[in-house]
Amino acid sequence: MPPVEKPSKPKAEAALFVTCLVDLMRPEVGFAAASLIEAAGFDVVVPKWQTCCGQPNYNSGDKRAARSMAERTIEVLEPYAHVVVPSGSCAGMIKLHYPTLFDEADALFGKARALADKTEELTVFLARHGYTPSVPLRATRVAYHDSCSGLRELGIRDQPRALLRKLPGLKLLELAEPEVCCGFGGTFCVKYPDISGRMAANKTADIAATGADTVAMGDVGCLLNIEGKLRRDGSDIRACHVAELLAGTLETRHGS
Amino acid sequence: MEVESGAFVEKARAALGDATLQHALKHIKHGFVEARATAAARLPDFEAMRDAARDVKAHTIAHLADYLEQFEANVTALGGRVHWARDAGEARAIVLAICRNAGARTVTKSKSMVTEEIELNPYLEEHGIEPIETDLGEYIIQLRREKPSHIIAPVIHLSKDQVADTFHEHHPKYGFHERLTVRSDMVREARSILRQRFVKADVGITGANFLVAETGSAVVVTNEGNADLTASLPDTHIVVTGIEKLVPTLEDCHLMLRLLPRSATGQDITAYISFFTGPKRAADLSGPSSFHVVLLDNGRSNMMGTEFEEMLRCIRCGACLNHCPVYANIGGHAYGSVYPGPMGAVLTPSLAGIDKTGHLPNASSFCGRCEEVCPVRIPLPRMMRHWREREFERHLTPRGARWGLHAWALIAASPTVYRAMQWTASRVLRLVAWRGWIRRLPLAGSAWTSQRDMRAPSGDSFQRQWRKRGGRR
Amino acid sequence: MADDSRADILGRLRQAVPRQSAEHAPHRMFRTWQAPGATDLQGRFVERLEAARGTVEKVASLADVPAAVARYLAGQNLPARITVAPELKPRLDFAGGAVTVDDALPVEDGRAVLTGCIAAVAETGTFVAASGPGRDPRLNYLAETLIVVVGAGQIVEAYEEIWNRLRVRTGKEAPRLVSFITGPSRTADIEQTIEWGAHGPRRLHVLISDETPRPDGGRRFPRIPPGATPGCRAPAAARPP
Repeated sequence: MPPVEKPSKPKAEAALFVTCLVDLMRPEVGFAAASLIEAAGFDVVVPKWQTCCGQPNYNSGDKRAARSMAERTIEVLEPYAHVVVPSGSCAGMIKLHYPTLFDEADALFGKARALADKTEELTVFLARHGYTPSVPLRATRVAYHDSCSGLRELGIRDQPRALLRKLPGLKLLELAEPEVCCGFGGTFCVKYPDISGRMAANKTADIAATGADTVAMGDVGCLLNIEGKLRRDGSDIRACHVAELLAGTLETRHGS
Repeated sequence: MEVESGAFVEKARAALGDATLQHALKHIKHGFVEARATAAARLPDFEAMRDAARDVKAHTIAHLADYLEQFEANVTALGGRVHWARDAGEARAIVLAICRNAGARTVTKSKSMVTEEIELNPYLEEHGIEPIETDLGEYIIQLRREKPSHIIAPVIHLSKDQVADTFHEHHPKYGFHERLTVRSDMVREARSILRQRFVKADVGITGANFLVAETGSAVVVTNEGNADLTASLPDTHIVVTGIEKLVPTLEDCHLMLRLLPRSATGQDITAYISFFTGPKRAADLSGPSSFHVVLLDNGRSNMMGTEFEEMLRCIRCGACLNHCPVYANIGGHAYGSVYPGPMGAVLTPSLAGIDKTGHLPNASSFCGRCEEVCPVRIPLPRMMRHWREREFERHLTPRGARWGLHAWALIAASPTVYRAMQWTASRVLRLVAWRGWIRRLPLAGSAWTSQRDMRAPSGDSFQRQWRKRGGRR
Repeated sequence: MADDSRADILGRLRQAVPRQSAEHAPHRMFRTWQAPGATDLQGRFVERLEAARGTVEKVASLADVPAAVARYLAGQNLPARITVAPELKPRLDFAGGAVTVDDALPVEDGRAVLTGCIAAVAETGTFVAASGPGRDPRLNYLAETLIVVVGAGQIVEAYEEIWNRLRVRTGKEAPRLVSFITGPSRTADIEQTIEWGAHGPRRLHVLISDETPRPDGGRRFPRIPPGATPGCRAPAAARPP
């Protein structure tokens, strides 16, 4: 639920950069993220002019468009002290790649750096603010899938695991090859569907071998890929964003 | 340099369906990935050593012309000769001239990617000189008339049975008629045949893993000892290598040598590391009386000063191939270049032109594992992205993709259009879904649904729902 | 044409403005052993050599070597014949023993060689062969069974020390060949499974002798403390700016 204003105690403000994939494909992840940021003690703002961070164009070699999309995003997010992103790859785009899009002499370079500094991926943000989830949960065996950008660009490995371990009744399971890509890779999955499909099949086999009933991850790109592959292969393992588990919104989503 | 990257998609698909190849590729995980992790963990300063190695190579590349001259002066002072080749053709001609001068009929070779790059073997054959590959893997692919599928494990794509068939087909002329089934017997048979070839060869050709400027040494790393036999038995030793292999000092070289085998095979050291410095000296009991180093450019100097310059740091360990999820699933031949995988995706376009190699820098999910394991910390994904930028600038990106990118940029530029698009897409996806799932999509979406289902959105876009619920914006 | 190529290549390299640069930092000795400050060079050498599939036996002096060779060959069911490296020959007495000394170059299958080394490296259980007066390093690669005599005093901690030592001995000119050899010859080309004796020795046996087989040996090579810069640098004139 969107937060209700509490005029009695002014809270710090955090902007949710929701990402275009969450926005279109998994709005429930956006709501879960918002409720978690709220529970961590912040007022959530969803800047209304936000669109796409530009990563698809950037990774496809369309640097000019990527730069103008970055410019827009920098402007839209400028007024906020904290920017939270429920995606390792979009957060990585803003934190690591935005500053490389501009000359150091360009005024936008400084602004890109400022945005990079105040932007955090959701689980990093929650872990840093000492957020402790306290949702009731059915006993669940959860495998965690590391998204490549989050893992390698932002060093996200322990934060989501630590948060998940705090959920009562949750048993966290490790994949045999947690460092291997699931085959999403942005436009890669449609440019090279056969290779991407094999990578996804390897990943879902690894997930199944853990004996998990749920696989959680921090990027909706990986999520669409993994849940789609599980479904195609007739598996009943459910896939979700980490935020959905932490916020306790998963049970309602699946109607069980 | 011959590349056949145009058929990448078809070759990759065939590779994915090739059960023998898929079985062979499974050896990468245990043979290389786990071995490297164990070796790296045993070394307390491994990460600091990688930083130091990166800096040594960066320094060398920045002063490459000076170090090449120093190297040349040292080789010459000892009575050796350095030859400079701008391209593959010049390099082949130089090697042929040396062989002819030595009256060579047969030439033994130890594994060298640069001689693969310049396609030396067919050229020597055309000119009446028989090249004999002596690295077991290279020997096998020479018999099979194939190209290596990995820069350090040339026959990683083959099964034991395929090797057995190859030997059974080619070895009867040496008096071996039985089809062997035990690996150690195969190795023994090849050893016995190649030993005779070693003894009779007129010239030995090796590559070099490193060139040491301060001494004029060519350093060759093997596990079989074949480079040593190649370089020690014939009267002429030719080293064919790229100009980027320089390191300033012996100490720098040992730093590299501590990283190379650990990154490549997880060994602390290979069985043989040999420093070859000039020809036989007057008091030596053995060794070649003539020592040549052929320095190949072939596009490397053009990388200087560009965003691909850091690729010149590469020491050809193959760790990026071993850790690449794309390589691990399709093997090396699909790339159509002797340099496959991530390092090939950056290097091959530099050597052969991006117009002929468009798939290579695109066939990556940018997972970043290659950069994570590179002993000299080459930012491979970043450089693949630079190649995609060059393609985009030169309108080499496929038209559909260009159109899609332009359209997306326009949509993202206007929040109003963006919202309309998201609203429409959400509605359409929910409309075509059955019980929340989509099994088949048309156009670009068919690439997605050829492999997996798609769960339709649960409702309107997040931003729209947020606005409707009165959330702060 | 050749001169043009040289000028072209060097010209292109010099014309470009390099994107990367780094100082040529002084060489650092990193910790390559898990236990820093380990001093048992011989223990480390033996452990690493055995890890690389070599075998080891200790002998008190060079006089014990012929008997040790005979025992080893017999134990492996190998013929009692051996080629002895020229630099060792005058120092060993095989007369009256069970082993026949061979003189021909061991090119056929199955031959055994007894050789010395210029040094050994504890870091990885490596012995170092080099060309030079009275030495024939080809023997190291041709043998199917290789027995190496290593003087206990020849074992150094790290590779770099070899070069310090060699430079002193040879007046700074490197020998034609310096070869770092660790364990038997091997290949993993077929299905990434290791097979021994690819081209060189199938078996590598090291006899560690308390007596060093080289006339100038016995002296410990200077050790390089971690973090120190070893003494061999390129001559200043030949170094780039």
